[in-house]
Amino acid sequence: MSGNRRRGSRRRERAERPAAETRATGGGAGRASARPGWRRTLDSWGGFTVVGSILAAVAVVVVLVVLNRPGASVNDDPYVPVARAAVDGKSWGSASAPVKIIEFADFQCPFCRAFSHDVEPLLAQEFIDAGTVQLTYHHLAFLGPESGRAGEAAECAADQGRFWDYHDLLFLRQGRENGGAFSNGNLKDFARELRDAYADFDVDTFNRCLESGGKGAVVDAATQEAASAGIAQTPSFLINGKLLTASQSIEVFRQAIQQALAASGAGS
Amino acid sequence: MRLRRVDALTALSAVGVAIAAYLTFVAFDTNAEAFCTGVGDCRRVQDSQYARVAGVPVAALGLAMYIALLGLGLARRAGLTVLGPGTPRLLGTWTFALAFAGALYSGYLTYLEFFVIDAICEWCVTSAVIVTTIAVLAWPDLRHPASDVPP
Repeated sequence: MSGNRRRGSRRRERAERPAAETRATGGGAGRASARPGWRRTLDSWGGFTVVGSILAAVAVVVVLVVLNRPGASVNDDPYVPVARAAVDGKSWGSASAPVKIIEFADFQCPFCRAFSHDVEPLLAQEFIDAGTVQLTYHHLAFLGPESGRAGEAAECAADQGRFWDYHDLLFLRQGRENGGAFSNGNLKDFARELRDAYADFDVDTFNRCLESGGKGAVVDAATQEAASAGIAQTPSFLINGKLLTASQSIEVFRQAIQQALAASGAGS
Repeated sequence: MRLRRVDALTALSAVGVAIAAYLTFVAFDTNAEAFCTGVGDCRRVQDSQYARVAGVPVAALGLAMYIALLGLGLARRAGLTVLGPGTPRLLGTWTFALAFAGALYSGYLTYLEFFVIDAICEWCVTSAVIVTTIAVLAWPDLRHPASDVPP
C-alpha cells in the first residue's frame, strides 16, 4: 500500500519536474537559449540563489578565519629575560629603600604595559638598582575575566619566585581585551616559556596551581582592597603614600621620587 | 520504514544543538571543564586563543548554527510554504549553505587542533563530522528539494 503511494508520488514528481525546471529557467526553450553563456552556466549550477548562498557561506567562513587567525590576539615577539636583584614576591628592590612605590595595575591594561616597557627599565636603572626605590605590584584586575586569570597565573609564578618574570611575559603577550590572549592554554604556554628561560621553574606545579583556581581569592581581595582605597584607574601609583595616576614619563616619576626623598629626609 | 534525508538532517541538527550547548556552557563557566575520555585534551582546545572569535566562544557560534539548522529541518518536515511555492527549495539551499559554511569552518578548526594547538577535542571533532554529514545530505536538495517534502 505505502509502496504504491510512493511510486505514485515519484511519477507525480517526474511529471512535475519538467514544468518546475521550465519555470526555474524563466520560460520557454527559446528564451533559455537566448541567454548568454555565463547565465546558462550559472543556471546549471542552480541559479543565483544557490550560487549566491554558497558564496555567502564561503565569505562567512573567510571572515571567521580572519577574525581568529594565528597571532591575531597574541604578540609573539621573543621573550628576553630581565635580570632583577632583590626580588621578594611581588616587590622588587631593597626592602630598606626610602621610597616605596606601589603600582596598581591590570595585565590587560595597555597603559600598564606601556609603563612596564617604557618607564620601569629606567626606574630600575636609576632608582631600584641603587636601593632608592622598592616597587611593589598590586592587582587591580578589573578589565574582565582574563585580567583575573592573568593575575592568578602571576600569583602562581610568584610561588616559585618568578612573579616579575611572568609579569614581563604577560605584558609582552598582551592582546585584545578578553580576546583569548590570556586564555588558560596561553597562560600555560607562557609558563613553558619561563621554564625555557629558567630551568628551575616547575611548569607542572604552575599548572596545578592555575587549575586549582586557588589564587582567585588573592587577586579578588587585592582588587577589592585597591578599590576600597579609592584607586579607580590603572596604572596608579602610591609613592610613599602619595597618589600618582596614569602612565607618566620618567621625568614625572623622577620628580615624585625626589619629593618623596625630601619629605622622608633621605634625599639631603 | 525508510528514513528520509530531511529526518536525518533534523536529527543530526538536534544532536549538534546538544553538543554545542554543552561546549557553550563549558566556555562561559570558568570553573567547568569539558568531559574528555582521555583520547584528547578538550581543556587545551577550549582554552586556546582560537576558541573565541572576537570574544565570542566558537561553541556559541556552533550552537547558533545548529539551532538554525534544526529550525530549517523542522520547517521542511512541516512542509512550510510561507515563502511561496519555491519555499522547499529555498529552505534546502539555506540548509546546505549553512551546513557547508559550518563544515568548512569545522575543517579549519580541526586543522588547528591537529597542527597548531596539538590537542584534540572529541566533542569538536564529533561536531565537525555531524555538520559535514549534514552538508553532504543536504547537497541533493540544491537540485531536487521536492524529494524530501511529504506527499
